[in-house]
Amino acid sequence: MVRRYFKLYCLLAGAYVRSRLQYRLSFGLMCFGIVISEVCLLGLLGALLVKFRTVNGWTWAEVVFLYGLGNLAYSFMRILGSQLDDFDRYIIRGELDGVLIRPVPPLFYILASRIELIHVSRALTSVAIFVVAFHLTEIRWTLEVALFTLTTIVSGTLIMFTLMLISATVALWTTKSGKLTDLLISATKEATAFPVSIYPLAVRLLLTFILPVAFVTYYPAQQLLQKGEFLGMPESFQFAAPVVALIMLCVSYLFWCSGLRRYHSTGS
Amino acid sequence: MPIITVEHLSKHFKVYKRRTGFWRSLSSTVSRRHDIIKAVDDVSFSLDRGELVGYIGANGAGKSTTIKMLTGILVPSSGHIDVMGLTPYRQRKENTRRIGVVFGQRTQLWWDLPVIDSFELLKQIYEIPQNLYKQNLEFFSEMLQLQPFLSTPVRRLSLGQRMRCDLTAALLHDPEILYLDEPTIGLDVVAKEQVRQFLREVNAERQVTVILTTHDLNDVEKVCQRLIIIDSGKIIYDGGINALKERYGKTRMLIVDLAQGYSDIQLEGVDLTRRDGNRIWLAFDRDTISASEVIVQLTGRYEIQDLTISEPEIEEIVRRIYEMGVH
Amino acid sequence: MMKKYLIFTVKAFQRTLTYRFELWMELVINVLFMLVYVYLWKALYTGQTSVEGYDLNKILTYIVVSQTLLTFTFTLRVARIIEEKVRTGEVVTDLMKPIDFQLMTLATAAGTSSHTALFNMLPKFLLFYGTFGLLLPPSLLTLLLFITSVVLGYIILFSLEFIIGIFAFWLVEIRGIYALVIWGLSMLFSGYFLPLEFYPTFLAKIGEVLPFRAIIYFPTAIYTGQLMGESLVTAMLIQLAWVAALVGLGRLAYRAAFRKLVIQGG
Repeated sequence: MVRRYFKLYCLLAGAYVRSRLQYRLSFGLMCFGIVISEVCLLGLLGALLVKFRTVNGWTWAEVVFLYGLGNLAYSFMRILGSQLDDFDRYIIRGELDGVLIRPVPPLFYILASRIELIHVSRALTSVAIFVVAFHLTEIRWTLEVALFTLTTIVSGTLIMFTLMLISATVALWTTKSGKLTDLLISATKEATAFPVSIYPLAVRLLLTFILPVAFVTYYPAQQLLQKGEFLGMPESFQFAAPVVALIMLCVSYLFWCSGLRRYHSTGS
Repeated sequence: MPIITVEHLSKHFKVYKRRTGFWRSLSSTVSRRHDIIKAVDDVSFSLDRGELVGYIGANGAGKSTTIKMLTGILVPSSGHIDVMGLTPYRQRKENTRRIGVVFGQRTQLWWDLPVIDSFELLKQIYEIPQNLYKQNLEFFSEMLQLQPFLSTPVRRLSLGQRMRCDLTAALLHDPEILYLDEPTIGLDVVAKEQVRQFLREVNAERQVTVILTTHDLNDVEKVCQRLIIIDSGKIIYDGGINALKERYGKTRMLIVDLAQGYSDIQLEGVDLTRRDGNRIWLAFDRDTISASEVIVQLTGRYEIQDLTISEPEIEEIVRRIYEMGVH
Repeated sequence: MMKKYLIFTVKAFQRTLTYRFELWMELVINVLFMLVYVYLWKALYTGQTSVEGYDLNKILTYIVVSQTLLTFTFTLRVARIIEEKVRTGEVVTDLMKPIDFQLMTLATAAGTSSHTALFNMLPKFLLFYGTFGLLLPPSLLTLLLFITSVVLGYIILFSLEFIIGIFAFWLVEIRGIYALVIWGLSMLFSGYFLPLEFYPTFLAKIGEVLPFRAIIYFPTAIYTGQLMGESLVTAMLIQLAWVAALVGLGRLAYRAAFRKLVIQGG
């Protein structure tokens, strides 16, 4: 069963990649565009940090570390969850009907039919930023740190993915969700780049419990950077990212299912 | 034992009102009103294995909605559907393994990849055993002459070629029922004929039950044995095509070229429906007056050059049923 | 003459009204977005009174105004719309109509955007204005100049998107160039994230020869009173020059696209 789905995933994703590679110029331009826009964003952050040096007690190296960590999760999410970027076209153009006549779970089919290698360019930029930041913050490399970092990145990717899934699912009610997804994802990505401690309590609670992106970078960074800055939240939050990811997976999947049920009853 | 049974099937939609006018549409940002539309309204029919049925109706008459409920895409508001012993919306996956679906307006093939790649992918999706896949692929590519463009990307195919590939794609897993939504839309005459012939053959040789919705009544006339007409969500005719003609096609049309332009034309039992210069169109009911009687009358009073009698086209009949309702 | 274009504006405005839920959600997320920046700057300014001539109040005003204006960049989908029209072939019917394609596109975009301005940007701005005690423009004249400058900036942004959209006649997809220009260069040089005064000299120098600062930085700096007198006039002249150049370039581009369509049939 698992093997069948793994094989099917590879085949469907492979088909998308082959389609994409038919347009090499466009593919190349896109990669180039992404790298440039990443560099530009980093340039902005750099300009800011050069001027101010610290953000609420976080050194500029630590901020770049946060930024790199968030960006990594974001890039992986974009590679794997690209189909959700413009999920509303499935409804507007009636493509969802074509999915529902296949003997495969719809969400699996939709996700598998696109794996966006363009965003590998973003991931590579993020890896570079992260490695440099890792070095600058003088974190000591041990097996534990490596495992923790890896878990953090995986959980972060999943958390961002589930937010994307939730906002894409909204389209099953409203038909349109493209801009919404774009916005939500950029807003949350932006929020992961800075220490949550700069926000007032309400925003902190929002980013912890409702759009839990604080678990993508901020809380795990407490452990990695030994900041010990919990602002009244339980200290165990620094290890909670995988749990949060799991909860979010369940919540977003249930939401998706109810969206699909609604589609089954309205067909639009 | 029927392969499809539909009983008292209904589907109701809420439709939100778009208000016109600037301020009114502005106020609809805050609150909206809606109407209930009965897209499918208490529809019942059953199909036997191996039937070839045309499901026709105007735009918005409810044919797509019915097909979507049969394929498990839509859940009915009320009523009962049984397809091969399954309830499509509850057992969606099992149902989809045993049906094939073709959407005429939208290809199910991978746009940028060679045709054969799409077939290979479908083989994996439907878990078609290798030997069956090979056998079916050979069968269909011979029948539809797919060989020349099997390795061409789908986007470079003509509409007709693409439809042939879509038909193959829908049949590779040996479905028992084939649903076609407007399969001939946009095709040229030759391609249309090819599709029609293919459907007849597949139906005859493989015992596939075929349901097709269409605008083009030639499809129905040339392909189907049975016709279901739906209007405003209700079935208004269900039966054979010949029976339909028998029942509603009693009117004959006589087209006459007169030798000169008579100013006044008087004939008994005949309607003058159209006049264009010296040519006139006369309609009559063959139960009340025979063609020869009309011609005798005509030649007795006027000098004629030429005449032809035509049977009503099915399109004409259906239009009349729509206009008058069924009596 | 202008009346037939105005119809597109009104139609687009009304069309936007049909997506209610999306608009409310958008507003909520936008507010979250802006909160991120407002608090970031509050944190940065702890222990500082004035940096590069901006005190806390002024910088917050700058951030809120520029973030509000950034909404245009987020919601203007001119390039994507043109790309979609080229892909579906709808553009052929548009180009054959006895109306100017560029003006029609602008009129449509203006409809969507005026809706955005009214129901998203204005409430957002007022909310932040009330909550954080932001500054108003120094005078009524400045306010009028600010609005003029916003419109000019909008036309520059529109023209850039329009030109990128026209590329779709030659390229299969334009997302690459779009990402490069709009998400890359425009974001870096428009000054939405921090005032250009904060940029390192070499970056600021590059920005001066590009049109992007005319989109957000100029209007915002006029609002905050950073640009006054002679520098204000210069800024608006630069905007006008870019409007002329980019609108002209857009016309050339679509004429070329039109020729390509006529000769090669698309």
